[in-house]
Amino acid sequence: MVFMLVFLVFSCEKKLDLNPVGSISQDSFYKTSNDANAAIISCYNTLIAFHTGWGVVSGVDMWGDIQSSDAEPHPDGVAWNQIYRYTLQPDNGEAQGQWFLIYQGLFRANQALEKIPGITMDENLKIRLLNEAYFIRGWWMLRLAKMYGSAPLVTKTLTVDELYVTNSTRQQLFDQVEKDLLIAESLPDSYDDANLGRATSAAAKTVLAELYLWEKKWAMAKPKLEAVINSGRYQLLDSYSSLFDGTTENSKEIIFEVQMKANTGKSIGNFSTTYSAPNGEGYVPGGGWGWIRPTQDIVNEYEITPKEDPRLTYSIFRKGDNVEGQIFKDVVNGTGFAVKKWLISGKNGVEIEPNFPWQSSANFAFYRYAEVLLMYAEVLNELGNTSAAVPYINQVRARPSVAMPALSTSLTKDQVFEAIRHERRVEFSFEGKISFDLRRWGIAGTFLRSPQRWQNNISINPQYGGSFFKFVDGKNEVFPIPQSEIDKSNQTLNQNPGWSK
Amino acid sequence: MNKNNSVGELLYHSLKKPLLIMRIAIFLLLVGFLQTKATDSYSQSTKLSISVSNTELVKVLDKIENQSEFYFLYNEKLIDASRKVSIEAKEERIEDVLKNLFSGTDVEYSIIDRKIILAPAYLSESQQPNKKISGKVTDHTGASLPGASIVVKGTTIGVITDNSGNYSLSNLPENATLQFSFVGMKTQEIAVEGKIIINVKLEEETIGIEEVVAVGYAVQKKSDLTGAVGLVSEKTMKSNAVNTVGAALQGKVAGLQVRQTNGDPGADVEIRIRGWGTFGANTFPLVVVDGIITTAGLSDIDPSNIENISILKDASSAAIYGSRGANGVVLVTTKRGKAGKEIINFETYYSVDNVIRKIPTVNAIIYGEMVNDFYTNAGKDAPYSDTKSLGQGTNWQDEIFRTGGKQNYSLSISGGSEKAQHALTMSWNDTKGIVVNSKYNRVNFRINNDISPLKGLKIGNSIGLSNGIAKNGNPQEAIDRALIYAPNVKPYNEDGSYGIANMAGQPTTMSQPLVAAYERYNSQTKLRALASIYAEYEIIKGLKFRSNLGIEYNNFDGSYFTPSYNYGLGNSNGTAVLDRNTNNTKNWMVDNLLTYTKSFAQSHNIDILAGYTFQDERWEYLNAHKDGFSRNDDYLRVLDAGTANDIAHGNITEWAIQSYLGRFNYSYKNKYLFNSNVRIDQSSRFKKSNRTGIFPSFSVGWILTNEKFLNEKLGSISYLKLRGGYGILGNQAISNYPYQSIINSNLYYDLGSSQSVVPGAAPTGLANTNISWEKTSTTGAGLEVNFFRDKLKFIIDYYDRRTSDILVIVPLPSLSGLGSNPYQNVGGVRNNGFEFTVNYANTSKNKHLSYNVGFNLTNNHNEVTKLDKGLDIILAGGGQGGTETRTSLGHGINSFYGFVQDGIFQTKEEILNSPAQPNAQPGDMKFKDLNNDQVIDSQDRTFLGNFMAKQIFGLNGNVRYKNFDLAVSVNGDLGRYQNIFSVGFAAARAAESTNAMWADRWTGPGTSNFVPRIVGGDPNNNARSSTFWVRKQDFLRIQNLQVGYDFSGKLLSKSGLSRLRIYLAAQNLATFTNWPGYDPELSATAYPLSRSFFFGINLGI
Repeated sequence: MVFMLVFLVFSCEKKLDLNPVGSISQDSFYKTSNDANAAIISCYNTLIAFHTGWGVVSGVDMWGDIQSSDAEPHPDGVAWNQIYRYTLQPDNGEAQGQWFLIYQGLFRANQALEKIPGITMDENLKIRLLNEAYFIRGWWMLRLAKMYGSAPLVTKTLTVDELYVTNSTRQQLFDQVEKDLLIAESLPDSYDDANLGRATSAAAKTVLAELYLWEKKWAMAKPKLEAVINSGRYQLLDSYSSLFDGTTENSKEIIFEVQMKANTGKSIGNFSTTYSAPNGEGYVPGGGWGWIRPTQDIVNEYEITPKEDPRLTYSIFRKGDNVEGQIFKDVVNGTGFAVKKWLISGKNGVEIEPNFPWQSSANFAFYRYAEVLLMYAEVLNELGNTSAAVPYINQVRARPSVAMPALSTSLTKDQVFEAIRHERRVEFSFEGKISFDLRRWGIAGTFLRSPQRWQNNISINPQYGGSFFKFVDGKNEVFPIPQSEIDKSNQTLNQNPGWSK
Repeated sequence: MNKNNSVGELLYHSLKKPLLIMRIAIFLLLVGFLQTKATDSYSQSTKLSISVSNTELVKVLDKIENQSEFYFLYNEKLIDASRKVSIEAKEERIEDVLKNLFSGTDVEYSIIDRKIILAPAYLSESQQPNKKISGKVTDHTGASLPGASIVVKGTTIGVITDNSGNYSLSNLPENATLQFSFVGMKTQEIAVEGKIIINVKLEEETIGIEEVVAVGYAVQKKSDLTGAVGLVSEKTMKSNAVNTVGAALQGKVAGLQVRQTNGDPGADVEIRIRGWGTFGANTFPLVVVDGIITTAGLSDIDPSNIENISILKDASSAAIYGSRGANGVVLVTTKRGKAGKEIINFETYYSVDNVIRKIPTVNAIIYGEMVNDFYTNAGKDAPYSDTKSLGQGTNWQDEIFRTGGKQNYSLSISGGSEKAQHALTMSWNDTKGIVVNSKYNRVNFRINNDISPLKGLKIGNSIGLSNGIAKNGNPQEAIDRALIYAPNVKPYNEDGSYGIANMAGQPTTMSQPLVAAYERYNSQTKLRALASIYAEYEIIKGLKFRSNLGIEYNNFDGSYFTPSYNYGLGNSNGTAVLDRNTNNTKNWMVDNLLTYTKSFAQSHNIDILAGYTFQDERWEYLNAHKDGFSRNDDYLRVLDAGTANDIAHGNITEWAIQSYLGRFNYSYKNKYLFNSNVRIDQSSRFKKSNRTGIFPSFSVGWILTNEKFLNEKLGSISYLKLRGGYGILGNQAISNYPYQSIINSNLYYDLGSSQSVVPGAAPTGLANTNISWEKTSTTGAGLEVNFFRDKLKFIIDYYDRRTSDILVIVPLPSLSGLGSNPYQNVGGVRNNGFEFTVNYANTSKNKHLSYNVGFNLTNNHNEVTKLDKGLDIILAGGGQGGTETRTSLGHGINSFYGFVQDGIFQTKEEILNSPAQPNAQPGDMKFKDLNNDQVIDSQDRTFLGNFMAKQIFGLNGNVRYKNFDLAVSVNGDLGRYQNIFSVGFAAARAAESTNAMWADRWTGPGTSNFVPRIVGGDPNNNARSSTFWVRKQDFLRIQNLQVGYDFSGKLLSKSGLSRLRIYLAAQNLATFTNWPGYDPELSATAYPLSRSFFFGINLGI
């Protein structure tokens, strides 16, 4: 009887006001400078996933390499093979994933830009943090414009009802990139040791320069690149290979790189090692998946006279090569080549996880000083100052560990452009640059359809009838808007021209 | 023994055997029907053997009943049943035994078939000369009722009818009213009013009425039900030899869909009632066990504990569960003790289990050709230069499947006194899975008590405990790998090490199936406690207060150890890893209920319930990881032995609900029934202003056979009821904090030369504060009609369930930049259909043979009726997976969506002459140009099929002949589709399919018009969602067949047992389907169900 009475006097109304345990509600966040910093860190966090391959975060940017003649994907990667040959359709799953990653990056930056101003904190720090957010928004927006051409321009956080936005033009996206990065230019030139890795003023200027190159605003790119070069803060590292093996993080050559770390249990490591190491030969923990494989076409690009470009051996290993005491037999890959950049076995002291997900601590560079030099050479050449351009190319060729002979300063404008194209292709192989370069230069179609491409060579690859790449001018310069996004958009989103509905 | 205190003071006592009341009824029916043909053939043919000395008469009668089908009817006050007798009879006829027993007494006996009526000899004559009133008492068939009592109301004056059912009474007072009563019959009162003859026909109280049904917070007589309620009795459960309650329900009740979705030992089933009512919130029915609204449902409950299960299907029956009942309710009642002799039962079974079917795979030669195709069609070198030399190779399924088996032991003791009853059960089940290195065992305990310490007070408890342990490698991975691993690899090398794929054209990144099966050490323990205590007090007659406190505790404890090993490519693990995952659910609730039951003037019955309940559920998890174990030894598989990567995760979520509930039932003369419920719920899952939901229902019933004016005209119809109802139910079974916008603080980045990890924070999900209850309204009508004295029964139900304000996560444009989208109250779904149940039961005249056949069929139509903004909700998409589904207006929830295959392109000319299909080559799939624009693109996709069955049916039959019985159950689904695009079927990836379907692939014009060529990179995207991948899962299955024998007679009495039964059974005996996967109930490659052959023994003391 007693316990009946106990039950009777129950009043549980308050027990229905349950708040989440272990997480903070949005209303009670964004109050302190720590919160503001956390908001910015969440923006950087999006850069770790700037690219995913087979659903995992990867330091390699397959988008930049696969859609050229330089690299082919593993035969198992159906969506990637379609991207490689330009046979993809708007329902390509990888395209869908990339679209989300871009808008996730934009959201985090927008959220920081909206919430941080209301926080009472040190004003200088506040401005710096906001500038970092502008940098990240600008970088993602540029990637959006580069990849999709026309897409919704989102510069604020959206509520459920505001998610139906129509496409803006690529120029409108470019304009927003410029706005953001002009603000981000006031970022500090450098940081104390604890903050190493954050975006700097030079990083903002470099992204701005890349934007101007896309827009062919050569004269506007020029001062930005000069500011970086003249700052004296940057120089090429002697060792080319150390840029990729994780031993020289945030070095003098790095303008901006994604910070990655293994063995944290927080998925902030670099997966590119296992991702790109040759399939089935145990060079690295996880055995290597060989999802990206060098082709004969990129191997052909390296100079062999008067000497073989050392970057070939630093970047690619060939069947029969002895790598870390093991002969590469190419038992499974089948191309005869494997990517050597990011081949981290753990023997050089750089952390790599021995078990799944086999992430390493090696950072992935978005912009190296070598690129600043080559962009500057391109700008000078385009502005008609061809002879002044050549020394900047030669600087890159003269890196001690590369030491390729200098080019003559008496080359023609076209020859210099050709030289820049060559230099970018070999210097940045598998760093996600080449296919975007081909599009920026407007030569992707002619380049990929050229009979000079190894893939199109009828005597070597007769089954493709000389047209391996299905690049269509006026269509394949950009990706299709993901079909599922169009399906969800309530008819507000339009497909890019040339793509099937 | 059945004691019945009737108003008429005379206590009738019948020695009860199981189903005695039914037998009386059947007997009376038979007598009524075949009155003139009644013979005593049974009494002539049956021989009895009894040997007792100085034993109470009642015990002797008991013995006779136990070894024969005779039963005794007598008036305890008139026959001295405690008289000591001695008798020695060997193979004698009943007449002789009775003659012997009653010689020298005034007891007369009459044998009417199996019924033996004992009465004092003086009743045979009319003993009252001054009769004022007389008459005859009969049952409703007209058969006379000897021994019926007639009492003058308000006095002690009374008589009993004689052997012909006649009575007479004299010296009646003025305005006398007579009360006629007989056990098992309804008491009747008749005013004399000067009559001199009153003939009375007593109505039975027994048929279909004694059965009471749990309806939520109460029981109700089956005949009073006005809603759609399905019942599964203990007996039905028993006819299936299965170790989960869910599986025993399959095919038993119309409208109840039970699917076994995994054959893993210990896996549970998926239950739906009347289709899927929503595409957002949870669609599982509420499972209530002894009053506890459970979280873990039926899992790990021992089927031998079950007394009965009620399935509340419509709003009017489930409305008392309000917000919780939108998907229907499964009410489980476990066995409780009954006053009387201790009953001890021991049950055991053993089974031999084998996989029902293996998926046909190719040999190594064909595999080599397939892999060569994959590469050469993509312009690469063929890995195998001489495929013929590869031989037959390994069939990996032969390596990983084995003969498994189950053993089960269950011991139960129940009984008690009038004041305290108890029931205890213990059981142990041990299963050896059909995949190597998979096993499961489970221990169950249950203790149910009921105590009446004071008059009017009852206190009791129900406590069930279970502990299930699965110890496995990774059986699912072993199965998946067995379907793709290269046949040209040997399971083991000659030195005993694993054979590993190590060359081009083999799956070199994959685990070898046996490595997956043996080199993982996974153990999962599920501890479950379901405990409730109650106290019930009758304040005044009819008014009861009941309080229930229930607790459910589920603890899951998983330990996953992968040792360090290096067997070769894809089969190495650098450092040993241990993951320990534990989580637990604490779910407690309290119910306070006030009930009032009253009858007025013999015709009006009311039943009122008012209550308050509160429930709170808290879930907590803790996951820990370590690696860097120095060795793989057993005793080092604890976290402390690891040296690196300490990773811990843990969190808590909680939700609560409080409810006020009320019920009002009214019936008039058992003819007109009215029922109404209301429940007011408040859930923590909604913000304060949206928190309250009110869920009312009402239903009515009309039993036409109880109408005098109709009863005579209904001919062979013996029972006829019409019922109908309407109600609204709610659903809030979504995540726990859906309306709150939460910051995710786990968005890390590392900074600085020392690479310090810095936590970042941002929302990663969109919030929607405006959400509230999802509502389901159900309109239903039912017809129950029985023919031929209830031998043939039909139940037909029509229902229309309409769900609105569906709580669903709408896939929003990715422009939000947020990974998870919020719930919104959008959309509507309609499920309508009919349920049909027919049952025919018959017993032969000589009673040796009885049989029962039941069939049920459910036809459900599921359709999305509303979607805000006309949104097509894509739940899975993408062109690679072949698995596109859509929830779309006018179609079923989650319908498969994609292209329609139109054969295979045989030639280049055919491609040129067909609608443009980019990148197609001869041998690729050709798709239909549905919109006739001469281009194959996303506009040519359509709906390919439902993932829910349109029709579900079950057929259950049993036959008993003498001591033998045979039970069979068959079930099936029609109209359900499933996708076969999964490992083992898809040849889109290199060297990763061994499915025999690819042996018939296109290899040149005319070779196949269905299975495409195999080509690396799949330029035509043959893998896209299409009719090639989406296949029908229709099936018909002989689910269970059981043959049993119940021992009786001497052998049994000598053994000292009261019951001994042995049986042989087969489960999943035969399956008829065209589905190419393992099993039509499962996804294509899930751990398959087994075909099992059982041997079992049940014995009782």
